[in-house]
Amino acid sequence: MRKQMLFFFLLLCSRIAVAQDGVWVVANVSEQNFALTKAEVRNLFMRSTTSSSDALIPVAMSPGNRSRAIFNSKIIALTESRIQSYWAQMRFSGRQIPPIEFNSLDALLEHVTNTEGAIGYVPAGTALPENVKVVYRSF
Amino acid sequence: MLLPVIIAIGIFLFAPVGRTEGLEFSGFARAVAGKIDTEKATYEGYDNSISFSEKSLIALQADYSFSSSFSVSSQLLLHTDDDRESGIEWLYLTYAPSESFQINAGRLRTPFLKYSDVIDVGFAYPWINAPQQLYSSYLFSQYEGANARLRRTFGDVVVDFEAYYGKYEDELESSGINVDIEVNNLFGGVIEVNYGGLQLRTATVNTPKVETTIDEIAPLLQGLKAAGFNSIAENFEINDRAGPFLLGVSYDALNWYVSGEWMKVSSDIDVLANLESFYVSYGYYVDEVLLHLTYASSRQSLDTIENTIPVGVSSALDQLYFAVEQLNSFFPTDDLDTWTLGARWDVKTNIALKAELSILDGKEGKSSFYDIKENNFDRNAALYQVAVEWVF
Repeated sequence: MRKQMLFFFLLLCSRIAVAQDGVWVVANVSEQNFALTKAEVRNLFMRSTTSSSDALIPVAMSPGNRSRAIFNSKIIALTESRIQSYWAQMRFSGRQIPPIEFNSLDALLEHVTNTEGAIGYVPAGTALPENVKVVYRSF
Repeated sequence: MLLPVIIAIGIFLFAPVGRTEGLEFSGFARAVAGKIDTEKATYEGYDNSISFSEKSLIALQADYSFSSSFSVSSQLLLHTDDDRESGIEWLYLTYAPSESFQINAGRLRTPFLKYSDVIDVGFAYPWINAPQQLYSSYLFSQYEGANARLRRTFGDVVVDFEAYYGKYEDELESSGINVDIEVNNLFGGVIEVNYGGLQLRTATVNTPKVETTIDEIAPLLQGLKAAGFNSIAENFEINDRAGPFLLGVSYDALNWYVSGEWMKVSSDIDVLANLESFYVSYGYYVDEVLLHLTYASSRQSLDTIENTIPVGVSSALDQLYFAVEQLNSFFPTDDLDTWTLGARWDVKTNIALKAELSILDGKEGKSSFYDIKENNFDRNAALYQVAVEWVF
């Protein structure tokens, strides 16, 4: 019995761990089956552009946030320091400024919920308001 | 000159009134210390005692948005380098009707190499000293005029186009010589192709007529002309075309990168002749620390001006002859190979510490980017630098 309990406990832990290691890219879009590819998400967050939609405005979590670290490594595929130096280059050459950053998941979700076209990322499995849809899943 | 002044007055008059929420300040700073291990020459201002003042600087940028598509930006830069003037580096109006199109007008920095327009923002690149063979301030670092930037997406490929037109005026100091440069019709373009971590870049600058004045040689040129050696004098006058061309490629992976740029400057100016240079760089991340290794090389081919002045006819002609010989050796021949090993540690998201060692392998009889003090200098030296880079 105790062994089984331990087994279930471990299973539960591993499920949580898996869930924490994924991020969902979520957007306030009206189109029901709207989806993006990984390359489109990357272009949107790094260069504010995609082939499918120009109307999406990316928002990000602050550096140090776990979802941001996962998003950086799995989707952007660059280290935080490389991303920071990239944005310094864009800002001080007058090209582009980085996405607005939020300190908490709640604040980011609230912004996405209230802003049409806003797109951000959250830990996989996060409960979402009705008008916010998952447009890309990274596990 | 008039346009930036008007914009500056505009900012200072109107910015503090009313919609101050549209005003944003940011900035960057760097403190760099370095020395070279020889007393026979200096390199980029460094000699064999530690100096903090060659590259240290602080800059404040103000961006003010009038509306969602109009804004004005200004960058005030304070240097400790004696060879550079402190003041307003950037001052321009931006019209950006969409995320993928913008027009800027005012005083702008010339985009050419990958980091040309952010060369003062050390935080934006891995080195303390970007490869001198390409990034030395020979080129037209800033201009007054306008540019247009357009971004197009083709599937997963993002392509940036930039075209610009303007004029350039500056005083340069090259190997101890002061040169006044004026270019009235400076124009050029950049195409940058990005696909995931892969970037291809090409750029060119066209300067149909570069006009330069070198006070040090003006009396000699007059003397040559007075003595009837017009063709020699004309060879020394730098009033002609120069056109650099650039190719760059880089690939950024999660924990490593490779990057390289190749540049060729061809010119009809006899004494500047042609310059070809490149670098190849590899970087590897160990947690927050980046280790990088760069090889850079430059070759300058100089057409030596034929000295047709007869020797031994009169002492005046002899003097002219030797003056021309001296002048021939006066123009830089910057052949240099370097190996640079560096580390960058991002201690915070906006602060990086860097350390760098460069082995400078210059060529005998050439200036190799040095200011040579003793003629028996073998053109080999090591450059040590440490830096703190900060953005805010």
